Amino acid sequence: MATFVSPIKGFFSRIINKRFNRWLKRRIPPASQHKLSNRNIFIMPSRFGFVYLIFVVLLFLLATNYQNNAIMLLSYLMASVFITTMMHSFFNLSGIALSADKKAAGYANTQIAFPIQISSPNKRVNLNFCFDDQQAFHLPQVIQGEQTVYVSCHYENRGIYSPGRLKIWSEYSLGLFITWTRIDFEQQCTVYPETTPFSKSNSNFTGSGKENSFLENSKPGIDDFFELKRHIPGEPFSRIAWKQFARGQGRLTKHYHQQQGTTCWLKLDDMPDHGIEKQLQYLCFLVNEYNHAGQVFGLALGQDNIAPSQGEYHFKQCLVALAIYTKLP
Amino acid sequence: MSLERFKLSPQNSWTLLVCQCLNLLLLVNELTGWMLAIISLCLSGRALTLIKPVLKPHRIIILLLACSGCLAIALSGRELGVLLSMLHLLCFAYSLKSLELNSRKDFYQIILLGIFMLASVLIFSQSLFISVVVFCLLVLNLTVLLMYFCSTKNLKKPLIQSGKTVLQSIPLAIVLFVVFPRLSPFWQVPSAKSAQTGLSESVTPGDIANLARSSALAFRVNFSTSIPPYNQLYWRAMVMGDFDGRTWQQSKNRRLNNKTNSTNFNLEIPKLMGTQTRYQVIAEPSYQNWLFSLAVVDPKSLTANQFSILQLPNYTIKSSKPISQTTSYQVTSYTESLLNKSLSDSERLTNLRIPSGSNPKLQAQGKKLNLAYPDEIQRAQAILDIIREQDFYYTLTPPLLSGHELDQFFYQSKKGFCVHYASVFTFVMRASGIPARLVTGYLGGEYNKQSDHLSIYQYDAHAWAEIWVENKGWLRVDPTSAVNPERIESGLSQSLQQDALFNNDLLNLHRYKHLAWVNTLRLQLDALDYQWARLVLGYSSKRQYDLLTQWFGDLRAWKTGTVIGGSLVLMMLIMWLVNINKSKNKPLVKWLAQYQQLLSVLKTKGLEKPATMPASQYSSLVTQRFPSLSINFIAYTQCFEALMYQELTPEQKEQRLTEMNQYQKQIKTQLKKLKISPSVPSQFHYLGK
Repeated sequence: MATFVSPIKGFFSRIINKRFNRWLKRRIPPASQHKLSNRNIFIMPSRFGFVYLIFVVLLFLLATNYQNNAIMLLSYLMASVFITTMMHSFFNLSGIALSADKKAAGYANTQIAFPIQISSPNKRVNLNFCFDDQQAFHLPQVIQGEQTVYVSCHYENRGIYSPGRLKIWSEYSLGLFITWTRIDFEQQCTVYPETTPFSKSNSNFTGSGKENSFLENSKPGIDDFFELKRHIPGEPFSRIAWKQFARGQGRLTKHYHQQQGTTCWLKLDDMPDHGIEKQLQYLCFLVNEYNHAGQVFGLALGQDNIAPSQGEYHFKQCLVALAIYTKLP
Repeated sequence: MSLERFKLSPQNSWTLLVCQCLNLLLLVNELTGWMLAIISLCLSGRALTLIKPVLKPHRIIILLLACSGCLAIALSGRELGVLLSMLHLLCFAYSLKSLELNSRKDFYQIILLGIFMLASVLIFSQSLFISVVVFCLLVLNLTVLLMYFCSTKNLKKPLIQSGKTVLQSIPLAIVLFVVFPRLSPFWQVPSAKSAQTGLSESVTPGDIANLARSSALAFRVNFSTSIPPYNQLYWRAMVMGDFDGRTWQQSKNRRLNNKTNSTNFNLEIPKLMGTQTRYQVIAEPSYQNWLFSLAVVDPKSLTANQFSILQLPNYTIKSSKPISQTTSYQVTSYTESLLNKSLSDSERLTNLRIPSGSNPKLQAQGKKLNLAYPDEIQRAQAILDIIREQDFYYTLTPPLLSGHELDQFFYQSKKGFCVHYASVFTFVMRASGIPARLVTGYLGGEYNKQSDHLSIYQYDAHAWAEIWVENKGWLRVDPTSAVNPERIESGLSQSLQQDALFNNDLLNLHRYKHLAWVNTLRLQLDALDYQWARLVLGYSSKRQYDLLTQWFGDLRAWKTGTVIGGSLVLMMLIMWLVNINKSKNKPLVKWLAQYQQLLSVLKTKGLEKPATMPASQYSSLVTQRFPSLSINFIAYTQCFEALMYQELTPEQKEQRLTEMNQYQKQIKTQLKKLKISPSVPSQFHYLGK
């Protein structure tokens, strides 16, 4: 029986979902900023809300059967509380303004955070945020004024994703209603490959050209640290010598011994052949390592190559390339 | 949506526990001792797990407890009756549930059960006091629910919030109460079978003296015509015709009559004469059928009531169901009419019957009187004269009597309460050949000026006699008037009441009647309670119909619907507008508003802050000018700057804000104390820098 029903059910729910999404798109069009109001807030009694209503009817029956006006008044009061709570649930969401960046990036299988700026005219309570099928973020209190929350996404595979609409919901004030909204910031999430540690022992990676491989030259356990210099604003934070800073010696930057004149190419073809995804993960790890070390490196992915360089921009460029890489036939 | 793990914060758990205890406390009177023991076991178990989570009882223990509790309730079911068994089960489930609070569902269940308990409290009592307590507890119950959704540490905020919610709900609730159609009961429900209170169906001398110690309310009366004088307010409840030498009871054959012939008892309609007295009686639950009225009741006036009331041939009235909740009924009486329905031979015999051999001295006295006074009224007067002239005492604590009690009382102890005098009088009248009977009821009532009604308390219970005189019918004779005329004219005297001590209840306001302000307070509370009983508890479908037809002409469903819908929309609209107003008027940042407020205060003291000057600079300026403020103002400015320019977590912000508030208060009080010399221009300091 169930085998017959479920495909039909699935079919209908898909159609309904599709229509609902289309309707939603017209109702709440994508924007970089949303202000919650009666235009975009939905409100429905929760399951407990329905149980509560049945309970109120029960009280009414009790009062009628006993012809007891005091219980009657109690049941009417409870029914009225239901309506008041609905208003309070609505007020809890309405008036909040939200804005968010369009882009976020992170590694696969990690939590990628989307910062959402919330600005509220007064205190709000018990808000939950989540993207479709993603982990929810619970915010117990919204303060008056501005505040940033980080709503996370989790993807298993690299690529560029659209996290879809952000759902914000609350069960305040008595759990009788779920007030929710689904707003679209047209966000995009670039998911880099996972970084899989890459050690020589389990690979035959040699780098392109024996002597210019960074890994070849650096023996494990030996730091390529060369000297400490005064920190110049703009230098990457990851290279600040925090130990020295903690000792109160001021901000110093670690400078690594660079093999000048040698540029290093990280090549996809050099990666051990554990499947294309695994190879990309290894590359991603290496890109991280090289960047961390301040090494100049280039990325060769077969059809599109990124010229050797260094710095944050270069680093990001490499990661994006890894994220969107598709093998040409 | 993620599956969050259910966990109540400690504050929430403790509040829930306290709330449960309070809910259960309201039902303490209805629960048996063993049930209370089980409940306290469960609740203390809960408290223990809250203190030490390791001590959580095992599932099997809870299961065993549940089974044994249910078994105990089932076993004592017959003794308790249906309603009380259900109540026991409810309370048991409610307290047991607290041991098994593992999911959101359990939490919701416990809240709804708690509110249901509050509703069941109202089955047993609907007085204003109980209703107000129930209302407060409803707010508390909702607070517990609310606390789960707003995780704050203090109780105050959720309490205010839920209080606000409930208060905002009241208008719509009132509209629903007034307008929503009242239905007749769908099915029979078990009624509360509490111990009967008030007068009992049989009376032995000394009985009513016990009642006289109780200050519980018996009923209230609201006269729509003028109130008869106090000594005419003989509220008849029962007529006792059978006497077995010790106890007075209602005549048996008359009781049979009631059953066979419920409507009019094949009796002629009483002849009504004189002015009519119309009144509404609001009777408190007595769990008996007897109702109170002044003689003679117009039978036509009884038919207008919600429930069926019978008029008995002895001129008393009776409800078809026991009065188990506050009930009101409308009566018209003709107090000047005679109770002169014809007396059948069997009735005459019944009302002359005395057990042979009982109280021989009084029987002899009766025969003597029969010879001495042929006229019935003179004969009755003779007995009253004896009581008046001899040294009889009227007391609530008469000595114990045995054997021929009436003889003993009349010839030896001579100390007694109204039943003693009425019994003796009736007995002697019967012995002397006049049909006589004992009537019990209440005498008088306390007039409450505030709401223009009479309150009749249990201590107003009274017994008197009626004798049959040819052509005049049953005449009321109150032998108590012979010994204690004050009782008849204005009620129990102060000294007698002090004697009785009202069951030693220190909190009873009736004890402090001699204190004027306590008495005024008591009367005011009584007036409020009366209005509650009259307007809310007495709001029947008939009253609703009358009121609504008066407002809307004819009653139509669509009109009712419009009123309810309209008020719903109105309520939502008002809340909406208030909310808009609230979120508009408030400045975006609270601290800035506060700071600006303080600045305006300082400006009146002659120290204005130029718009371009930083807050820290201004603070040094203030310290120069008002050195006494310096410590507070510097700290205040620091808080303000931190809030304005530092990145703080919400908790830190809260903390800073409260600190800022404290400083602001201190600064303001200091400023008030300061005497400022307005001569120094403030700008000078700033420019000079």
